[in-house]
Amino acid sequence: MINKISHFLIFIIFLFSTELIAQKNTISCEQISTLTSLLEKYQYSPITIDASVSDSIKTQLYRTLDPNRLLFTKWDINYLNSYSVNFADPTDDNACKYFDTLVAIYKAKLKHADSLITQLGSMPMNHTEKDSLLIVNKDSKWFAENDLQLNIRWQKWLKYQVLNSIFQPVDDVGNPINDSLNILLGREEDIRLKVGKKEKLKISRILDNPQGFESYVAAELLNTIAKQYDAHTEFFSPVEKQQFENSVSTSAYLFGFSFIENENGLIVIQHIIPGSAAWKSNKLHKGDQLFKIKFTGAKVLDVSTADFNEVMSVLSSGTDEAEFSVKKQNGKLITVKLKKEKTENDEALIKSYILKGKQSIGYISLPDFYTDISSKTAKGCSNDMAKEILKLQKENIGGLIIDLRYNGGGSMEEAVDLAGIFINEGPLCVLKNKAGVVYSIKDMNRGTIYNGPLLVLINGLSASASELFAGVLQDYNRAIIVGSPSFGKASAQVIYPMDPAFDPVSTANYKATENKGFLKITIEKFYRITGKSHQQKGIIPDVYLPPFFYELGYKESELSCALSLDSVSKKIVYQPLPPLPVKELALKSSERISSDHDFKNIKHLGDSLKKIININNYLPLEIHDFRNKKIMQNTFYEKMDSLTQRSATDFEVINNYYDKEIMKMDSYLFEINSVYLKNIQMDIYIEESYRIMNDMINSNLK
Amino acid sequence: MKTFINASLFAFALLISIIQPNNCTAQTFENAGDYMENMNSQFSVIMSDTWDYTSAVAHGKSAKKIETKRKELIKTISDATKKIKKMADFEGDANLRDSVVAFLNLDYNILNYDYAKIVDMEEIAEQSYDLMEAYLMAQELANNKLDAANESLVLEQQKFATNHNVNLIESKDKIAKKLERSSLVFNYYNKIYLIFFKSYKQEAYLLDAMNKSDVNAIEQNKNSLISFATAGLTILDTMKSFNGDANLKTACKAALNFYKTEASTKLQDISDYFICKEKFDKIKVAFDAKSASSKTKSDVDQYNAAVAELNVAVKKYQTVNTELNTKRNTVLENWNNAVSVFLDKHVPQKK
Repeated sequence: MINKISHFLIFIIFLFSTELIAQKNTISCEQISTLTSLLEKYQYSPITIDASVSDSIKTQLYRTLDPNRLLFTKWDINYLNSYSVNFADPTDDNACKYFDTLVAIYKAKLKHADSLITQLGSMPMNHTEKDSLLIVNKDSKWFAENDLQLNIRWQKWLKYQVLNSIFQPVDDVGNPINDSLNILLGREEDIRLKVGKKEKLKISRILDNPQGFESYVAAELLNTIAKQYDAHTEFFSPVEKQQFENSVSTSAYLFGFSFIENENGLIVIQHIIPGSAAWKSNKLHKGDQLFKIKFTGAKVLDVSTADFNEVMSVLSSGTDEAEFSVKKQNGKLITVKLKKEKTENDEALIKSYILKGKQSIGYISLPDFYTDISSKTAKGCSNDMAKEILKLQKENIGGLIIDLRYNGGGSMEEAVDLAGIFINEGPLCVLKNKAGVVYSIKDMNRGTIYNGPLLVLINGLSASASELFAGVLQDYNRAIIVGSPSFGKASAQVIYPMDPAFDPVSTANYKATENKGFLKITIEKFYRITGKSHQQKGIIPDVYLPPFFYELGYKESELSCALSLDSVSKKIVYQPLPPLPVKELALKSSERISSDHDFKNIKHLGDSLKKIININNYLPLEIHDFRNKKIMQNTFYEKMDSLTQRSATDFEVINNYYDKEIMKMDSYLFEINSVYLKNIQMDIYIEESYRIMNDMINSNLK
Repeated sequence: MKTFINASLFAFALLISIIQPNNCTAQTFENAGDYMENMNSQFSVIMSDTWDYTSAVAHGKSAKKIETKRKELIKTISDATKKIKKMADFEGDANLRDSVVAFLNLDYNILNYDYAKIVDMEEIAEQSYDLMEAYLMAQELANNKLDAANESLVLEQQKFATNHNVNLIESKDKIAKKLERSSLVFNYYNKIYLIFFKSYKQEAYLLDAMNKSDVNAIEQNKNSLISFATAGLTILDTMKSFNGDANLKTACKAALNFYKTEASTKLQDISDYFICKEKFDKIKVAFDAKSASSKTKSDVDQYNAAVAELNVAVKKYQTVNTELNTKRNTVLENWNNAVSVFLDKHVPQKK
């Protein structure tokens, strides 16, 4: 009778992307058929997959498997396309034949690339001749005409990687941008060999994937099909599902160590999480150099020359158990076998600070709407937020800033519970399901915890649950929304096992017989309590601050297969609070910003970024031209850095009493905390939010 | 504990008392007076059963007996409805009959708790926070509808009487008078009961949140309880005692004062305990992660201080809990007694 969010965790998140990892079972046409029939049944807006959609799937698949266009030629693609396939037709044998052929060609191409890297990497490169590399984006139609063109592209690609590394600042060498040609080229051979190793590792990560090469390709295909339905519908392998859940949970399955790429380009362990698998082993320590990873049942991966991102990719592609070979600081080599364990990860949790100036303003940054997946009582970020507010209230704050910038969403239940902290009672959002049924959702706890002045900071990467939260506070006149328009995602997803026997209504008796992966399915659209939607549009802030990266245009409206913007008409009874002095606050802020040097620079930077990205879509490969390009880039980054060099003078960022006590004991947290404090102190958006908050408090006093 | 009493029981008492035809020329059933009298006889039976039921509720009869009386009343209403439905129109005028049937149907559904036939339950569900609240909201809306139906029925009677030359004289028999008195008692009781219940239920949510260590729910429900109890006390201050009897009001005030003190002062220690416990856990993890040789004196001192601080918080938590449990039991016992005494005293005795 009382509407509640379903017992399945509903996620409203978009910022989760990782390389697709495969599952253990070989693909069969049955899997494609299961996928399409489940989506037909549960997906909010099912589509018909016919021959034409199938062609589009194939095209997108080639682009995903070969993002830099280094593997397939047009000839390969024409050959693969000669299989006329309808993925939704379970009787179509061609789908299986097509897949087998794709696997064979892709494997051959990766192997060929591997030997090409060996061959090209062993010969000196000419960096002084005029040359350039075509930059392709993920939607580019470009593929090499033939093998010869492909080989040339590989040469250019390796040249580019080598040049990039040559100009990479290294601490003990200094910034090479001003070095002479001789010095630069003197380092060429060494760097070339390292680049070759790195590129080979990328290939090996796919070919020797811990869960099987064929399964890797199958997962890519299944995901490409799923994405036709809607931008947020996805296929998850078991590993990916775990990663997704890790990303929105209070605890995660982890090995329990973090690492950095040090000034010499080595991967070293930076921190061991107390209580984790790595901590219990008592063999790994800060400063150990990681050089090999071997997932159980898979080949050894040499990461000694890999960069940070590559090691991250390797780790995220693996299974739950692996052997890590490390070099201790005394030079001793050891191998440690670890199995991932459920680990509390403090760093991902909500944190609160006090901006201490004329007014003490609470500042809470929420990285995502995380939840406790294993608990039925849902103790996620809303519970943590309540505790942080209590801590801040003990510091007598006069206002509260909640920072949702870059918060891509998370659990819908948490978003609703969190909004409930600030809204006494009433509906918080409206949901519409596949059957067209429209119903409202409320926080089941009446009452509030904080009633003082409230400001919510958003930007273009605040998405989904963040938008629900900001939208409802705006509709109730509960908070002033500051920043730039948000991402524009107003749909909700659940994760179901990819099994025809699964029924979400009666899960008690369900037992997975074989793990065939999972589907993240868009099942509902959500609307504001006004019946309007922010889909593709975003939440429009009350006080606009120029965005840092507006030019990149990464928005829901830019995604293919994004759901459309519409509205629902339903009688919703809610009692908004008296209006806030939005116009007055916006005017005062705009006056400040128009004379603020750094905010003015943000716009100029946007324009320069466009230039850096878009010059003819070609990257110069002649060393002088490359250097000029680098100088341009460096100038941009220096300017960008200068924006974070201004320390706010209106306030000092401090910790609350409880956190101070914890950090006295935990030196690692202390170290991280000092970085956080500095970042907050030097963030001009937070500085401006503090000023807006002061205006709001003064306006209330009038 | 006694709950909200269905006010619809009394709605038709007024109706019956005013149907008194006084037309000496009307001798046959075709006569308008006889026509009304026939309806009236059905209402007399309903009224009698209503009184039996009311009396059982007010004078501490067993739940089983109350339920038997309710079922009897429902059957009587159902039978009466069937009989009146079968009556022909009077000289082409079916308005009175149809209004009576509509009224009785409404009453039947309310007594059966079948609110879905009367109000939009989906809309109610969306506006309420639990089943009990939805039930009370549905009941209130259904009773409003019944009152409206009663009013229009009275108008319909007067119209019928005027059109067909019937003189209506208001006279009340013994049962009608008892029902009317009971109606005043229950209306007063219901007002106070709802004030009490709002806080009582809110406290139940709060206790549930404490059991789950859910600080968000504890804090929200705590603040909600403060505002419900405060608002309730304000209303109670404006309410008079019932015929000089202030006991029910006093018992309710005592309960609300308990809730208010509990939420606004005592429970702060509970939330503080959860925060303190979390701080201690983190300090302990960091302390344990250090090797024995790397632990400094200041580390050990800090750890010991954290242990001591947690022990104080635990002690406070336990003391507050025990104190609240004892007080809560007393306050609720007093409230239940006050309700039983109030109804027994003011609702007329059966014989």
